[in-house]
Amino acid sequence: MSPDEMLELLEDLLADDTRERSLEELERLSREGCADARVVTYLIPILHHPDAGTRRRASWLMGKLAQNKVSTFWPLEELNGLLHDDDPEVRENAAWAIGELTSMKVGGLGSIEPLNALLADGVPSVRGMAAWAIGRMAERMGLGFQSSVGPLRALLDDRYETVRLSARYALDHLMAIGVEG
Amino acid sequence: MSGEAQKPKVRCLWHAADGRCSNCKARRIRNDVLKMKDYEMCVRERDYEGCEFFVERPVPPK
Repeated sequence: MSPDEMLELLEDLLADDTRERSLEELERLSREGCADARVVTYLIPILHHPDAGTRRRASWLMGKLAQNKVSTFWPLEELNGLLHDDDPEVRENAAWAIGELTSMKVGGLGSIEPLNALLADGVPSVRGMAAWAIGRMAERMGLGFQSSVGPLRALLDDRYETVRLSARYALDHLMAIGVEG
Repeated sequence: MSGEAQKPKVRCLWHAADGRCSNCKARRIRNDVLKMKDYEMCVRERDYEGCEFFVERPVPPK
């Protein structure tokens, strides 16, 4: 895809009648390894769309682009804000994106307290992804707070195995950087 | 991570035609948390039962 074609696709994101098709194409491109930094910028307003389904797709793309190691000015505050979204899949995607960004050493302490709050989320996939993201911040960036330790220990008895193992993963990496309860 | 694990798992929404898992989040958790290094291919007999990211693929209307 040429730069001009990509720009046209991104401008389609901004219009109601072309947004769905644009998101679909961007999902396909990102699965193929797209690392165009402009996509991140154009997605920012879509993260606040009133439709939860649209926010899910936009936040998923943020996670996937982070996984693709897109080098750009990443909107960390926007992602931290999404950790409070009403929709659980959006919260999960935001935690996923924050965790993926640590591969590029992108992240900050401002994510930790909202991630801690998600450790008590009613949806298991959100709890698990939040624990994983906390673990990734410790593992990849050496960042962590003692305030994560208690809630993570509580998750060692979670009814879902993936949540328990995600908590174990996070606690092990926090311990490795000297953060213990 | 659905709690609805009672139904038989026939075909996962994320199981691509070439056998790969197309759920990027599931692959990440499997690599980091479940320590399944180089996990990419999904095998129904091996992976469906324990996978909390399983989503039944909808049957297309006839």
